[in-house]
Amino acid sequence: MTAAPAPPRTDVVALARDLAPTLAERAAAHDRDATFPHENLAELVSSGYTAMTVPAEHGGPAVSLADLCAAQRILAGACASTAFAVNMHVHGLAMIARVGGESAGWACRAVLDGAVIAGGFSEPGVGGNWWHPTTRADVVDGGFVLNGRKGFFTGYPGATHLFLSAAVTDDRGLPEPVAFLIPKPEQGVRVTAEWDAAGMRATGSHSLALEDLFVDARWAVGERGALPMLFMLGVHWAWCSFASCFVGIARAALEHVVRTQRKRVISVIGKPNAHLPGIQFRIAEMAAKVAAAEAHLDAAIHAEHEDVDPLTHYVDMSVMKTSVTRLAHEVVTLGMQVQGGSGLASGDPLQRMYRDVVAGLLVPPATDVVLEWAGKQALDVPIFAEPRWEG
Amino acid sequence: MSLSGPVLDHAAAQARVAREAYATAVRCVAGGPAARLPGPQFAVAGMRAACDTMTALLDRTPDTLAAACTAAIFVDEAAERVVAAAERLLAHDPEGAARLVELRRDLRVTPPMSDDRCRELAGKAALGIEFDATPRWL
Repeated sequence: MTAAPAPPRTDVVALARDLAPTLAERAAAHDRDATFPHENLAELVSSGYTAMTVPAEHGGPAVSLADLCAAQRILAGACASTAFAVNMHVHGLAMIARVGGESAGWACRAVLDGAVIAGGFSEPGVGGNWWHPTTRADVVDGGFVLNGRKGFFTGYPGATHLFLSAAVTDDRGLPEPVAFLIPKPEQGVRVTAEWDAAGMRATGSHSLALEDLFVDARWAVGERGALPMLFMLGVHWAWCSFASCFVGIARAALEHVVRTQRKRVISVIGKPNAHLPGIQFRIAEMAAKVAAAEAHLDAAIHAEHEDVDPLTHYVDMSVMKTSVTRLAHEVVTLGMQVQGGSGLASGDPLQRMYRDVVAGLLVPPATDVVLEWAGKQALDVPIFAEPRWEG
Repeated sequence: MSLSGPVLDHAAAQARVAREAYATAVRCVAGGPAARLPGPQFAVAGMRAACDTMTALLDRTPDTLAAACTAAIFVDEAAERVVAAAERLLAHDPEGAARLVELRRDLRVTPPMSDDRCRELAGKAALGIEFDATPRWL
């Protein structure tokens, strides 16, 4: 366990506001050194933040998706890496809890005791097609043996538990994707590359090799082959919370640039840059894109999530994530233009935001797959038809 | 009289034009061979995404001049992008192209406030500068 947890909090938005200034103070150093923010995670656990998605029936505060996203936006504006790392935990637990059953019960109890979940569905060579895990799960007495590779295992250094995917081969030779939540093992998982990237540098998104990793049968989440349905029906927790992190960066970038331009005085004009029309026009474009991104996210948060067609729900949420993260990236790019050369200096947090926000374009779902699926859906073309395209 | 109403009304009209351009593109492409090509699929998906964002934004924009101008800036650009994408997609479809000529004309209806004035007001609002401060700049 990373820290002794406090009783769960329902007011996570206020809690995020309380925690944000300290996280912001530490963000530059963790970004510079590519170190995992263990102390931030410990504070999120000890304050009760990490228990936010434990359902009421398991003794948790059952925070709404709207509050989760609002809180994550605040954290991301302070330290995007910390927000994104803990995002794997809060949305992952919400999805596990949604499945119900024994795995939900023990996962929630563990989180109330201070457990932290890191998630790993991405794999080299899968290219965002998370529903086709290449990690193999062979059935053995009492459980499974997993072999494969995982990329971008965000939050790994601070995790006590790993939420990951693999595929069992059925009697017909067909893969049955399945999810597991396992206590972080002593053996069977090897870090093949520590995270060292241009952006989101403090997320500890290591690459892992799973080597003859024994997983007890009781750590399976849902039935064999149920992973795609589990994910599609709970996808609002994933994609809305992902989008929140990047909207949080965009909003923070706008506020930072506004603050700077209101103060910065160029001697030849003798007044703050904010009075220049070009600055006003670009700030207006930033504000417009932030408002649009926040609105699209809000619409997705408050859309129907239960009585839905799984594939339509997945496409709707994916279209939102794709649009919102693109807008967030445009906002910060505009911010760099407003800020000028000083925005590139290491002392300006805008350069970190600029590197962090790019990740929004790259994290799942893969943009091209979203466009393909949404396009096919609109044009009444079966999404999984083969050949994939004709012509 | 407040201009926020007319500014929002104009933006809503532009969003409706964009939605109709998207619907036209879908109607003309669906069921034909182009529907199974990646380019048209990606194009209509991009249109749909932009329309969804415009709708969400207009549904949530408060009735103030600054908010209306801020929303109008986004909708103006997004609607233009949607209609242009539909024009490219249906360039060789006589029926679709004819409909898009009408929609392009509708999109060009003179706004109640110029783009530049919208940008000025939205920018000043974000920067905390009074709209009627003098001198207007510097």
